[in-house]
Amino acid sequence: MMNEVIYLIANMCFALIMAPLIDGIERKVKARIQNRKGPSIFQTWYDLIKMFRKPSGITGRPATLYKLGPLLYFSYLSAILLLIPLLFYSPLSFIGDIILVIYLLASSRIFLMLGSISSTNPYSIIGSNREISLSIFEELAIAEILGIIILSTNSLLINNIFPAVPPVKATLLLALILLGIVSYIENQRLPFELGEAEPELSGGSVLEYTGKELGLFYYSQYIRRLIYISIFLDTFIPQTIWIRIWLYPICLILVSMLFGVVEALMGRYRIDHALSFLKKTTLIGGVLLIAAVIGL
Amino acid sequence: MLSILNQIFFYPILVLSLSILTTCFIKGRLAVKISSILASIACVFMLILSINVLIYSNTYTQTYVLRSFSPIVSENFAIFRINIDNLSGLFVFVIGLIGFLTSIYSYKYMDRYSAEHLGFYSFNYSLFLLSMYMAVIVSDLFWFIVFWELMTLSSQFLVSFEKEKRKALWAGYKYFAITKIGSEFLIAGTLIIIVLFNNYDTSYLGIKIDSLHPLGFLAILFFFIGLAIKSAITPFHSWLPDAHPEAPSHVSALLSGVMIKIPVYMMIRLFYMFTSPSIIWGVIVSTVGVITIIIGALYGLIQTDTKRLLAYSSIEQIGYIILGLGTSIILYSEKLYVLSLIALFGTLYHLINHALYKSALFLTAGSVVYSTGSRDMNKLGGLAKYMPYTSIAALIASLAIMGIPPLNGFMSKWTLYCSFFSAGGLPLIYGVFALFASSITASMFIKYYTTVFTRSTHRMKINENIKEAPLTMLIPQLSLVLLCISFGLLPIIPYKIILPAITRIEPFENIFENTIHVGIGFIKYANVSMLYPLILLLAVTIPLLVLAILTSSPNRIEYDVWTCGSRIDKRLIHYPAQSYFKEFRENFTEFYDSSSKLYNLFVVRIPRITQKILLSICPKSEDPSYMFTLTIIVLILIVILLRWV
Repeated sequence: MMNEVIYLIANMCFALIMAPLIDGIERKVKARIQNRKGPSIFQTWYDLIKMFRKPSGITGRPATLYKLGPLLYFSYLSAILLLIPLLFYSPLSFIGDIILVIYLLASSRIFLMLGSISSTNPYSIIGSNREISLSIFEELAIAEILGIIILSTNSLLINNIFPAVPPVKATLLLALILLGIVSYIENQRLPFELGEAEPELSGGSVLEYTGKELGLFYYSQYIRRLIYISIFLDTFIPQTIWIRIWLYPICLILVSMLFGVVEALMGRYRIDHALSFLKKTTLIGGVLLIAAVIGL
Repeated sequence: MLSILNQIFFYPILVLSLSILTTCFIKGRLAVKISSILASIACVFMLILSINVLIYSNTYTQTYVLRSFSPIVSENFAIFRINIDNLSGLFVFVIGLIGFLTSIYSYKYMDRYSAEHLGFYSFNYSLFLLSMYMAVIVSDLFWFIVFWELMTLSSQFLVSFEKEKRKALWAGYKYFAITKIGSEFLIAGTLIIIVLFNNYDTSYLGIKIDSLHPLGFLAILFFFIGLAIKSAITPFHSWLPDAHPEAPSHVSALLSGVMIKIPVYMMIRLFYMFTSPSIIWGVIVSTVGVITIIIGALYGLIQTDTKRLLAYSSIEQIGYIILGLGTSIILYSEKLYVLSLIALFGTLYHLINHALYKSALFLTAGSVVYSTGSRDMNKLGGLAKYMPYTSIAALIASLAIMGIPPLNGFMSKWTLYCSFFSAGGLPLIYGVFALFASSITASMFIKYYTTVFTRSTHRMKINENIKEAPLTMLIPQLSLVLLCISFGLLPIIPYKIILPAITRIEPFENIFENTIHVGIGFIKYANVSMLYPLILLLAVTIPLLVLAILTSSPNRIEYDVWTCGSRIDKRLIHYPAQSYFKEFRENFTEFYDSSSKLYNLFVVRIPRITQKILLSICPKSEDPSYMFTLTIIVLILIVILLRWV
């Protein structure tokens, strides 16, 4: 019992502290690619602290939902940290928790969208619309991958699903690669970062947020990235504590650096291009799912 | 006291009949008041009855022998049987709960209509409630069909009671015509069942359809089609999006929350009690269910009329219910009883939840209509400021239908997904589609809530006169929303209500107690264990909220919406509802095009061709020799058919 509480707290603290640090490391790497010296890896934390100190602004409208948006985004995301294996396995595992995780991820996004649409800024609404259009396809891809994973592991428990033990079927392997791609897309990195799209929509879905809310939004965004990378990593990092405790952070940093490098080399997609890319991904996922059901 | 409880199933009939009789003679606004008060009293009786049945597991059985109509008619048709078992009790609960709240709502809401046809409306409203109630408590196929038809008839008049409105008339007519075909199928199926499998007996008890017998298959097929048309399952759904917006909002809530669930009640009886569950029917039912989900979701997304959007979402949600039922049948026939039990539990849980949040949403849409007179999402906006309570109710109901944990929609969907994904094979693929559709639902209701309640208000000219809906309209909405929250946070309530209904279903009664206990244990354990993370989540959220409220109130800055630094006419800051998710829609053009082609083929082309053929045959009816030949052919066909039977 005591151990489990310690695991839970350790997981939570690790994620909450590391999420902005990982972004800091990424910034450093990106800067090096562009022949710059780059800021210190704690810069992201400094930025966040500065934003948390500022007063929050409010558009002159009834704005309860608008204010609650980032808060609920943050709290729903942090609830996921309790459920997925991070530094240690999650002690709160129960049947069907994987579905709860997917719903929590989707709900967190819904709250953010509701909040940003409630700011009544047209740019925010356009950004949110894009995000929602993307998220529908992403949800389909995730559902397909989930189906394949559950088929090959015959379990609805996260702790039993992960990691995928050999012999790994071909469909499962391809599904895991697909999961890597989807977790990149869900990270809202450059070719798919359409909701905010600084040059076009000047911030899009977070345009009207300032101060604390903006800080909270960015903080949640880093946590969200960490969650998606962790879900991807969980598929192959074993749950044995003494391997996991050093392999997981290293892989986490490596994958996020890789993602950062990919991002630095990419330009932004136009929304229809991004959607058609996602459509193709989901088609591949669908074919894989049918193959997995047949038994390949 | 005991004698009152013994006869309590009779009181709703009595009160509603009284309401029907009085509204025959009283016209105008008074009729509405009388019918809404009497209907709500009747619904309270229904609630007491259902609690008595479900919690204390009393069953009511009563048989009335009516005088035989004529010596030719079999005695069996003259017997009127009432049997309220747990399954009936569950549906009586839904009817009673939603009926009670909508009746209260109607008290004030009907003021917006002219007094002319209100007597007619009140008459039909009471009749509608009565026929729904009777349809679930009788245990006799013959009387079921009688009340089923009465239900169709009265609800059709409720849809089109404003006789001057051409649109309403057309919607009512369409609804009536389509569901009439459904009841013909139902009658055909019933005839085969009664004649072939039940020895001319119409009571539910003895029916055992042999699903391997070709005519038995036909009987189930006809019966299923008849039920499917009424519960708006694709491809028979087209009446629903027309009928619901035209009806008064609380009637839409009843239609959507309760009436389209009555066929599900009969389906459970059909597939679990009248026949033993077979895999073929499981596959058919779940396939139809998943198609319904996708169609409802994708069409709901593009609607710009509030009530039409809600109607399409009803189609989608009924799809979930049907899919759950189908999966349960598949799992049962594969002898996976535990999973089958979970799927059926999820189905009924979702059914109750849908009744709760969809009624709440229709009532909020009704309040918006009451206050602004508009259903157009392109024009509405910013009502959260003027109608705060309605907006809160709409928000929570929307979140519930999206499946946000820990609200009730999530809990039932989670139960369903657990059974889909554990089942593997076909249910798993369908589960993936259902998960996809639920993300579309989320987008749909983001659109619904934000366009009506939070967007900028500058397009609306009448804004200043908008008032919050009166109290009798607010209370039903808010209590429905409270129920949504409590059914999500305390899954033990629905568990207590639903489980008796399932475990008394005949096939589940016969399974080993152990198996049942595993299933029940799972439902109980899972529903409780799910709460841990949610409690922790609340533990995270509440301090954050307190922190936010404490820190931000003193020094907050107010500013206007940022418009790139230039002064733009505020009326230009408006994002119309029809532009929502345009990019997504453009990626699904193939879907929308092909379904409109299918619509053209089946709804426009084929009826036209049939009409032409019929018109060309009609003149022939004046030719006696031709008609004579036709008669002989028909006679020969009948003889062949009878021989075969």
